[in-house]
Amino acid sequence: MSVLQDRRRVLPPVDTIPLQFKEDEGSSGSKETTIARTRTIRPIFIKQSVVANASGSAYLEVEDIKLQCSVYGPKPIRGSFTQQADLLVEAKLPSLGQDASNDKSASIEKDITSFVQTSITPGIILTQYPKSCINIMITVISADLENRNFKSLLAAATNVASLALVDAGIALYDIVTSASVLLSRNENGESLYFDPETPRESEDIEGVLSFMTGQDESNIVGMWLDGENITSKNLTTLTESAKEAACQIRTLFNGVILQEFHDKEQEASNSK
Amino acid sequence: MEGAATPLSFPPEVFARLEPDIYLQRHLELGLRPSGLRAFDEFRKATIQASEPLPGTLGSAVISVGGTTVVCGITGGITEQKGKHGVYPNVEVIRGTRNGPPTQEEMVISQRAFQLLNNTDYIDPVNFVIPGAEKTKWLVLSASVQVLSRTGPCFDAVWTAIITALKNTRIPQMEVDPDTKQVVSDLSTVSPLKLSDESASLDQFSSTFAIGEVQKDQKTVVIADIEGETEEACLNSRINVVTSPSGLLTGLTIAVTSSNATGINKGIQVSREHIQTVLASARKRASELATAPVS
Repeated sequence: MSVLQDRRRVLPPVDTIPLQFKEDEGSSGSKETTIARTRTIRPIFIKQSVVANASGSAYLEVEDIKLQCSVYGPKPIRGSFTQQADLLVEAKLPSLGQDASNDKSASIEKDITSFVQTSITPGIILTQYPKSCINIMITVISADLENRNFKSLLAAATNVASLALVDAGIALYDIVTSASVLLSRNENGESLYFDPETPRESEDIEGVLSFMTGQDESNIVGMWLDGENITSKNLTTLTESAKEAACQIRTLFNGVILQEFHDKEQEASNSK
Repeated sequence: MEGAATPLSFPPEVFARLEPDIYLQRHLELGLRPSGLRAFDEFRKATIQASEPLPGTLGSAVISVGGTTVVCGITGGITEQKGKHGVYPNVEVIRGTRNGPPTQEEMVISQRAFQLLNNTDYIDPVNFVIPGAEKTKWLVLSASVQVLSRTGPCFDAVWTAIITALKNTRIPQMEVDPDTKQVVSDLSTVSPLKLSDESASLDQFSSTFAIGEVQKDQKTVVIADIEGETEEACLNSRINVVTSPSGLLTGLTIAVTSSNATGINKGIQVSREHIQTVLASARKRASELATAPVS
């Protein structure tokens, strides 16, 4: 069996298999400690303008999730005239010694890309940028994809992209914020959690929804639900609570954006 | 005078793009650098974070030097190819382009790091041997490096990130499972990378210098740690030194391109003194980095 080695990158031999670790007894215990919060989100650390070689960028950290997003553009494109800007979203997981074509991480990258693209496209005034392109690059610096809730990662990715777009000064209808929710169902009844840490269990419904909360009607611009037997009542609960969480995040963002704007203004007046 | 052209005037950032060479010369003549208020021999401040490895890695490091940020994570794997054990650094520079083949810069940096890591025998080969499968299986370490923010040539920061991550790497205890014949590692017992002897140290730091000319005075200047578009584009002659704080060299390249700044194109004059200054300065930088606080 001969597999072609990618000679342009310095990668380990093709037959390399990642280290396998002994199951740690301690790790299963972490599941218990999870959901103590209900209708609050975890503390978020955000910072804008972290990348020097991009039009705009942002960094976001929620516990183990560390994301960076850079926006490049609007840049002119070659070829024929287009009415509005082309938006290209790309997500990159830490490669950790794996080949870039690794199937599993490629499919996760695709999931992140498509959700973020769906969510943020309605927020951007694309028609203001004819014959140009805007590239959005989301770099996952660290995230536990095995044991943590993937929907929370998607929400974080959408949020960091929104902040980077603001930093890049791209014309927006509204800042899109995204929130993940989990509806836990068991014999004790239903309970709802914002920003869940752990993945859903068999009976639960989990979802991530993106909103433009600045609009009067809070339009839903992205939605992904997982679970079985979703009733219309469940759906209402999920959307209403996700909206509440998204509003919490939006309030936080408003504060940060105002502060950063204020700082930039101060800096500009000092340098004069 | 009739018909005299009115002189054009541009703000500095436009002028820098239009005429980078002149822009650079105007700075150098005054003893200044286009990238800011740094002296010619002054390096940017480096911050090193390596307290706890990122999830999923055996060791990691985050380095920021000025506006450049580099992350390096070390992961392990098992190969059955004899002689292929070792450390494999792969560098990516995030530039907002589509996933595609690596750029020339990425390939050059990755190769250089690979050569430096494998030319030196500081890392004891015993690290890569798996007990119970000495003749069939070996450990390989991948250093995956991402340049998250780039403000100029970034080999120095990449190399510091790789070295710091390796210093913090903990190799788990490995054994062969008698049933499956697979290697299983135990993260509860870990050990740092073993070095080949007591004098060996991973503290090898890279410093890059550019050789520039001041056209007006016809003299050569050495500029440390270049940054920014103008300096990167116009200063093509470089000296790269990889040295330990004690002055033991592991890598030295001198690339001198022909001079066009003087207009008469007679080559850049690099004297023995210049090279001595560079070596001393690199050594000083190495000891600074070796003793830099790690947060």
